[in-house]
Amino acid sequence: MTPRRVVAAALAALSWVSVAAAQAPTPSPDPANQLDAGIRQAAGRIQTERATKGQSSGLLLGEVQLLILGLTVPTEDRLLARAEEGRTDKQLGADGSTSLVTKGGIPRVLALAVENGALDQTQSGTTVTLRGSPMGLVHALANRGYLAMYVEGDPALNVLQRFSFGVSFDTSRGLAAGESPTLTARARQLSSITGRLTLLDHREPRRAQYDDRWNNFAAVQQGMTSAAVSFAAAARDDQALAAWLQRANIAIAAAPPERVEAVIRTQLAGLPSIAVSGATLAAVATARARYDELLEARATVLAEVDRGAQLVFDYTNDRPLDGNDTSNVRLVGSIGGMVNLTGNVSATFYNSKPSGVTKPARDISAALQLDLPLGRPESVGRFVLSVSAKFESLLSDVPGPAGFLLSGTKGSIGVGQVKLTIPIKDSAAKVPLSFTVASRSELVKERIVRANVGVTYDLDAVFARFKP
Amino acid sequence: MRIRNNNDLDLEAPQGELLTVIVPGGASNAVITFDTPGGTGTLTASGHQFAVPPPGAKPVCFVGVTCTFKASGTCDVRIADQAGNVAQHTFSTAFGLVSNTVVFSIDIVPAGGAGGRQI
Repeated sequence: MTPRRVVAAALAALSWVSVAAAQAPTPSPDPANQLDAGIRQAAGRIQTERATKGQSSGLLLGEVQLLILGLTVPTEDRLLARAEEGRTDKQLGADGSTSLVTKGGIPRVLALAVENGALDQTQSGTTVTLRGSPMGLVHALANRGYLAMYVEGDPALNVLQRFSFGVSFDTSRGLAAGESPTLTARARQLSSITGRLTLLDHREPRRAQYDDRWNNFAAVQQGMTSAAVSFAAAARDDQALAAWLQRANIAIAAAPPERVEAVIRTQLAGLPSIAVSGATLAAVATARARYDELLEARATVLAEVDRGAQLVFDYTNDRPLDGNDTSNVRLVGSIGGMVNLTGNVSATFYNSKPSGVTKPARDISAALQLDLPLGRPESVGRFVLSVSAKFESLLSDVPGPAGFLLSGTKGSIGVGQVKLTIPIKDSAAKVPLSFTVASRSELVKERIVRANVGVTYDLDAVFARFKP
Repeated sequence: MRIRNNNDLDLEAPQGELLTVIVPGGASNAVITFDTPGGTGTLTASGHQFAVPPPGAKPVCFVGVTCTFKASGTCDVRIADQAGNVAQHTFSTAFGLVSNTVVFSIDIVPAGGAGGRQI
């Protein structure tokens, strides 16, 4: 094994600590992506009305948030939000199709489940992962009308919410020569199965412990509601806005179903340039200010929710193409506050013991990571100092890639890392600096000391800004 | 109450008619605030009832409702009269919305006449 692969193996071991966080915080929405979401919401409504009633009333003057954002969000921000959303849609198959060629009945069922929101799909390389939960299936069936009665907050359903599952398919398996990755969802492509039980979740925003925060938020939101009513009153008397709405709805009515969203987007792009009245301008400025306050207040509440304690139990059945199938059980706990603390303990077992191995357990491990946010986001940016450590005990010699036991690999591994992530303000770049010490890797008994400097950059955001 | 132009956000109702704004099941999943001729506040599961006011300088009044989702969900905003006529507008987090505000306009008409939907 080359030194490079030794270091890679050690760093990969540390990744267990970084991924011990049970749930990553949700990025805050901004007005541009909310305008984009509003466009898709309106397009969905119009398409549904056409399908069920044969006609649609088109865009409505009462859809005030759409108009407020349409009048105030700069064009360049819309392009950026659209570029990022388009990328996500492609990965998740939100356009109704999976991003890979599929064949066979089972993949179609899975695709239908993704289309109806029963499963979430993500893709990494040639691996497609489908995640879902019993509660998600209930939601999907209810939304499709297959469940006549569904009561939000039902205690039985709340128990179901604690469970989730995931299935990964490696679509590069079982390919004929020259064949592109294809999801067949057959056993040969199954690379892992996961199950999760959430034992403790104080990151659920609907918990009663956060009622006071939401009540305080409601006071901020009330400002938006009243400002929206004032805008609606001004907009109703605005002849330029009325004329624009009429033109837009003529264009929407003439558009085929698959073009409705694009036509709405085009029409809204012309909204900032129409000569609305002074009263409308004043009302929209006030409403937009209240809206920005609403988003910020919501983000503040959710940031506090994300610091709540969480304890989950994971089971993973790993089925590598080369090597032995294993089962891993892991208990992950995390809690936030001034610092974020995440830890896990896990054990891995062979599903069937390799030749020469007497113990069913492959390894046990424990890891701990502490993340300390530093700096002020509005000035120098948010630095993060992370300190992590992992201890792993290999309970017997491990099999190598060829299936033979590698003598002398049994033993303990200790890994420690200090990392400072430096943000570059007003850009998508971050610079992680890390220092890692490992007593050995799983396959090679050599001490590892490594310093790393890197740059991470969201190239999608950069390229989107230069799109013509 | 009558829905005009097949547009559930464009209503007409006579002065004094009692209307109720409600979001069934939404209060557990979202923060919902309202602004009606009867006042402002946070909407609970029982909804908010108000009377259509007398026509002022303009014979129109407005009902605004904002839903901000705590998690994923749907807000089905409804205004109902006592005869069972319902105007509704629905949105959800399915398309990425975290919050939305809609405003119903209610043209105040002389008392009398049937409710329902005007196409």
